[in-house]
Amino acid sequence: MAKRLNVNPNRMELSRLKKRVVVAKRGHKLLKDKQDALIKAFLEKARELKELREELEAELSLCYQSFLLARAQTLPVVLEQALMISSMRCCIDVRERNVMSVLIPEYNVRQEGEGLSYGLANTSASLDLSLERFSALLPRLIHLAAEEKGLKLMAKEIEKTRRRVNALEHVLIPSFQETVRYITMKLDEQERAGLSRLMRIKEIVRSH
Amino acid sequence: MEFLGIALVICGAALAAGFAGVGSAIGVGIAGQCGAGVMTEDPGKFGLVLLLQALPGTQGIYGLLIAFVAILKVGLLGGGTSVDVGVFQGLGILFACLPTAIVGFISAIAQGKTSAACIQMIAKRPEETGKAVILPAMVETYAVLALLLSIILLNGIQL
Amino acid sequence: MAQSERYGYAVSRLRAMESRFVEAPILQRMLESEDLSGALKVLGETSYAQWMADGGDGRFDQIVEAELRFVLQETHRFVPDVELVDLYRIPYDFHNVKVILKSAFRKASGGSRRWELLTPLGTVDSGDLITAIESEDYRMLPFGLGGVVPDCLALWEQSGDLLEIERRIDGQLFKTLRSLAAKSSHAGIVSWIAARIDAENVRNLGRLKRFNSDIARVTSFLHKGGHIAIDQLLSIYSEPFEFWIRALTFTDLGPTLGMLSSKDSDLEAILVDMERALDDYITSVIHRYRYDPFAPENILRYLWMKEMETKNVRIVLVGKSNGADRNLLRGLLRHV
Repeated sequence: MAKRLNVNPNRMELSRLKKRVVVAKRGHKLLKDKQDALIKAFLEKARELKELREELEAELSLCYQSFLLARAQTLPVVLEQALMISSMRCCIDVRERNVMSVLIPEYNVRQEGEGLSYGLANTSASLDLSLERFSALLPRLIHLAAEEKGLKLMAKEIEKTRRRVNALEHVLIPSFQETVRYITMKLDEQERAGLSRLMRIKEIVRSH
Repeated sequence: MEFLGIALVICGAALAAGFAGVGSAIGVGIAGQCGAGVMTEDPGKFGLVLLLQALPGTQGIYGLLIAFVAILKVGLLGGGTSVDVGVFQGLGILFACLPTAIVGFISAIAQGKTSAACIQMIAKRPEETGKAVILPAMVETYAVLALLLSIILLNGIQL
Repeated sequence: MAQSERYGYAVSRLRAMESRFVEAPILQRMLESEDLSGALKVLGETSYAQWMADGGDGRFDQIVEAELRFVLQETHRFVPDVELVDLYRIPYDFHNVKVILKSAFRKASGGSRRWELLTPLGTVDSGDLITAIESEDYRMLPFGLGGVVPDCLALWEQSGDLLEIERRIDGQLFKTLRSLAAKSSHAGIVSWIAARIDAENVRNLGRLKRFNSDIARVTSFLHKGGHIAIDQLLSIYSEPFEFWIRALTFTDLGPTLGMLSSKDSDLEAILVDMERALDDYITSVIHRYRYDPFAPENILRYLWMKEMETKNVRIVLVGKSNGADRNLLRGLLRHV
């Protein structure tokens, strides 16, 4: 049973509350619509991302395979020496995109410089391959990360909206209605009391 | 002049024992070196290695045998008075000793190398020992043939 | 004793050590095992066991390194000409020099030194190398590096072209190996180094082709001293890969390259296959001396096979720890 608000039962309050009920109901409907739309978008995106993720994971495992070969060629320290200094630079820009009041980040990756920055004598061609694959994969990986972050933010937004919808539906609107009923009853009671008082006074006056 | 014959016989005996002995020493040395290498890693192969190392040693024994036969023939052994040996007979005995000296020297080294290779073989395949012994023994054949010839020649020389 | 028999002891000993190689059946069992610890258990039945006493499953790199180090030190002790073992150890010296140089570069740009990447497998103590380079006393550097290192430092100051620096140091490495082999005056060793240079040149050619380098640059990456003339290699560079195999048919590399499937036009797949084929080619060059009980080349052969073995063991172990596919790993193994 919703709790009624602790307000003075007068007409002023009643009309104010009645207005609030209308506003709350409209808000509830709007939020409900937003939630539905969000959920629809979320599901679509989640399905899309799952495919993207699976695809990237397959490619990543391919990268790891060629890297595994490069790594097995020589001592780990020799490999690490080869990769100690890189002549490549990786820049990243961040922008935000607004989807239904959710700010989804968008990254723009740029790789500059030359990839080949290690000796050829003690590294293998598999290292070239794996580094190349990794560097081709990197922008897509970051894209995936951005999309997944967006998905997470959307989920949070859905959660928030649902909480609001629920609060409106189960707490605020019932308690408003309860209070309106209470005030109406109270006012009716007062009216009846006033009426009976008047009748009583009228009787006394007539008997004199 | 009467001592020239006996000197030639002594020269022949010395050549036979000396060259064959030197050959054997080198052969056994080579095989021993390889044997030591294998035994450093696998001391359990001592018996097989010893057998193979000893194989090039036979040429030295053959040389010694021929040397004995030669000096017995002229009666140098036992310190008694020797048989009278002419220059041509002495020369004959010297030449009779040469097959054992030359073949013994060369075959012992060759056999040493074969033994060394066979020692390396048993390092990898211990189950093939029987075959490993046969290979150096083939080289032995020619040392035996040379020994045979030396003995026949020595017997053939009439004093 | 004759010169040629000096190697009897060493070769025999290595023959006996050869019987302890991790060979195909053991590698097979390691491949078949469930996971990394299962594979390590199989490895524990071999000569690697002595290094496995401490540490967990993740330390297999140290185990492999310890075995390699032990073999190099042990052979160094009983081989008549230590130059033969040095042929294997000198690349690690050059690795150390690179670590020191790169550490200096990193330090200049605010990074940290990476002394933990130095390896004790080289012939020169890494501490001496550090002292020589940091105190700028370049005359102390071995193998003609005294001239190369200051150049490299100057080059870094001017252009920061790391590739060029690496190229110079690698060039010096092959020059050193070549002169060392020439000093040993064994025909097999000289021709083996030449074969290695050939393999390296062909490999570089293939790798640079993928990067579409221009021909002037390619020229600088080819090392002198191989059986195949640099001019010949340069002349085929602009041709497609299928042509290379035909052009090199009449060289020593011909039969090896001929086995590569030329119908597969994917250069990446070919490169990986080619690398393995070139390793096998170097093995085949040194295998010619397999049956000579006194050939010094057998020392090289043992060490080379040991290197292939550590590669194989590492491939299997790394694969196992990452859960790679069995059949894929099998395709990567080098012939022993």
